Amino acid sequence: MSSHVEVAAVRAVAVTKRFGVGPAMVTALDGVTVAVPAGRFTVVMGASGSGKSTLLHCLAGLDRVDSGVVYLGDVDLTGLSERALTRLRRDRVGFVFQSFNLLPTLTAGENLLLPLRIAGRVPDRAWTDRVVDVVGLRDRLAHRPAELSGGQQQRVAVARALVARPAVVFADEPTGNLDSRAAADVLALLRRCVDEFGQTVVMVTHDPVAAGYADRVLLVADGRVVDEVDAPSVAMIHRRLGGVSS
Amino acid sequence: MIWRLVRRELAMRSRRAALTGVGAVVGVGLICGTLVLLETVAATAGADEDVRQLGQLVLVAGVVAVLVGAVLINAAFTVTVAQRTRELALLRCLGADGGQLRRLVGLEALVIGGLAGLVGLGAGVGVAAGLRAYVNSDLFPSGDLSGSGLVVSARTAVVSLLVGCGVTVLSALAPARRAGRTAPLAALRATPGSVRRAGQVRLVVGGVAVVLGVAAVPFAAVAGPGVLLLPAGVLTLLGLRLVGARVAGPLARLVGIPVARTLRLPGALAQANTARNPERTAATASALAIGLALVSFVLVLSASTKAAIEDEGARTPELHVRYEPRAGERAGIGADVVDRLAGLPELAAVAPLRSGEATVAGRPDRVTAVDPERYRRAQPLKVVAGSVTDLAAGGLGVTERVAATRGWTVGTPVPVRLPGGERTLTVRVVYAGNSYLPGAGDYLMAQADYAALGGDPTVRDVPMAARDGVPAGAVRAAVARVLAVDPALTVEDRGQARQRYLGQINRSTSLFLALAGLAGVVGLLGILTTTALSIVDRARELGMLRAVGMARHQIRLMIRGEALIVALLGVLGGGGLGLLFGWGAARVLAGSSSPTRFTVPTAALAAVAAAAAVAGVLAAALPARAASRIEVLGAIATE
Repeated sequence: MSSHVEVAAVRAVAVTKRFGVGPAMVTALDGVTVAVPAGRFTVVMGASGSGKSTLLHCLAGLDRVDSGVVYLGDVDLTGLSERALTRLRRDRVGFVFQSFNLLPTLTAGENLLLPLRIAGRVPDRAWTDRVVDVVGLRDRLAHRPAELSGGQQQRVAVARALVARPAVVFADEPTGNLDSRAAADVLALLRRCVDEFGQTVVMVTHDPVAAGYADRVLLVADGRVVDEVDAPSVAMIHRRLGGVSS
Repeated sequence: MIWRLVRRELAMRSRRAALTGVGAVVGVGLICGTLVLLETVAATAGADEDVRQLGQLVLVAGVVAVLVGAVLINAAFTVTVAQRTRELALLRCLGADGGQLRRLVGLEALVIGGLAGLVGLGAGVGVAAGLRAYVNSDLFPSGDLSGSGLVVSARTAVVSLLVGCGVTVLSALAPARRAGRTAPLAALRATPGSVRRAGQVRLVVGGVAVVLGVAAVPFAAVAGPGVLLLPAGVLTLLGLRLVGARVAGPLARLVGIPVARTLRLPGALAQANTARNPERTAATASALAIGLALVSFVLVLSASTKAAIEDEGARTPELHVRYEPRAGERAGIGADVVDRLAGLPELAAVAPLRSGEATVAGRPDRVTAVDPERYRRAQPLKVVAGSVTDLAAGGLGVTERVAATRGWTVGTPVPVRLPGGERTLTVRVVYAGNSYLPGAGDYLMAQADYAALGGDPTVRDVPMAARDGVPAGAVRAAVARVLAVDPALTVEDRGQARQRYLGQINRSTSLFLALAGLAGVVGLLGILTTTALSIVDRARELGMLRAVGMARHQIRLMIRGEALIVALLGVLGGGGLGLLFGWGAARVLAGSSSPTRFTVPTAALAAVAAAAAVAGVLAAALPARAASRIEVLGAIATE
């Protein structure tokens, strides 16, 4: 039991999400109640089909829930119009996907500033510079995505998620397409975001090694959060995962 | 930001943009050509009726061009947006709202439309110059435009550009709206351009439009007003556009069966590809279908009109005097000429026809006055009821059409008013009219009554019959000698009259066909552009096929197979519509003053269908080559 008072950046209360109709209906989320602490690195783990990606999509306002409530800060996402959700994504949320994060027609630098440009905001130069330095891609800003390695592309995506100073960065299997070294780079980068900028990060992954970077791990199985582990070791994660799957 | 994205898109994917712009270039080109030609016609002093008619025809062509151009541009944008779903969805995830995506796609359309418009202007002036040369040449029946140079006004340029940009933006609007609705989650899905199902509302509205439009054809043909065909045609086209995406899949699978049988694996893949992307298939096929519908409509109507002319051949006088007055001259055929013809020993009968304004049972019309006995011998009238000889004093003859529409039969009393007075005549004979060939108007009355009521005494035609046994050449020569006194008069026999009318039909048919064919060519361009676009967007997939061992020639076959299926869909849809509406129009016109007998020009239609199918495959030749040259590794690395 942690003694300090946690402020939740994102909360889900009794969230249910189903796909399909009739006999083909799948319950992806089955009454999930969960809180993501602010300024921490939270990892959502589970086997494929466990509902972990759906949970991320619902928390991020990318997908609508069938019942239950999702709060981002103190905003109830389930009550928002499509327009308001769009504005929320633009201003309060950052994304990193598994692949196809960058527009191929724009340079790395332009991709980086894309969310700000879309929102019509003037980039904060000092902040942008700092993000670029942390990500370590200053000499790559003029390159197009096709000229970058997969790891570099993902780092640009992380930088882009940071640059708008979102309340939460959501990452959906950001290392899924990377080799272990590039994956370690990206994970270390996300860890630094949390440590240096106090950024709230929620990441979905099935890689126990990736979970080793987390402050807290949520284990998901059959559409429910079955376990929560604070500051876990990789070995512990392996153990818990074993317990889940048996 | 949006502007920068548009600029990058256009710069980095210039090929895609260029292909999209082809439709706009053609559309603007045809509109601009139309306007230039219209102004040139207006500026040409003494332009005759034929040239003015050509101007109207060109205007119709311009409207068709805008329509087909719009479908083409629409198709191109549909393909582009479907393939860019992932990019647009990513922008949605990063907070772009629907309006921004719409502006993105819309602005792209505006830039493409504007640039294409400028190119189209040049092309249009070229088209106009070509048409002017055609009108001035001997190929065109009469009149010329050498009196004035090409008139290219600022107004023409502005109007063409506005229409071009407007059509482009409007065409891009539907795909742009779809782009605005792109779900953010689509970015996360592995395959881009997943098949969207047409909305239920769209399906119902389109289905109702098609059913109403098609059902209106027999209604208009049999019972209702014939003008109904026009809105019915527009309704059907719009409806088909709406339901097209839904029906194109199953239809492509069906039409693709023989293609899959003959081309084996590449054919089967072509079949699957066209069915998998019904939106693209429908858009491309409909661009071609419009042209083919027009072509087959014109062919059916032309054949039906010719059939009616042939029907009339047997009821035409053996010989007649053709009177072609020069402007302002109204003397008619002189009495002395008629007398001398009557005195020719080579002729068995000479029946001068006088005709003039009259009011028949309250309606203004023209009546023709004849000497019943002479007329019976000179004019092989097809009598339906009564007898020509009964026309004597107090009798009236009417055509079947008039009898049917007015509900008259032999014995009906009909008041006829001429400039000198009114008299009630009795219907004595009902006959099949001659609308194209000379000899009989809608109303016949006895010359004695006509003269007594002060009818116009001008003789306008003289049907004649040769005496048995006299060689045709001798008869003609004798008549020609008599007619030599007046250059406005010539002798024309049955065959010549028929040829003259068939020739006129052929000329206007070929003009219409040229215009409709133009629409067909634009449709083929559609096949070329959408095929090329689809290849740009399928690079990965094509590379994968090559990687698993598909040979270059098999890739080529597959792409050509796709084009063939799309072309066949266009042929079937367009030909079907053309036949349906051709039948409707022929039925409507059957009872008019330019009658028709519905005839299907099977050989011509089959030739057009075959040509369109072959041209469709040829149009895909270049894209097919490009597809077969895709490098395996490069394509798979493309993201």
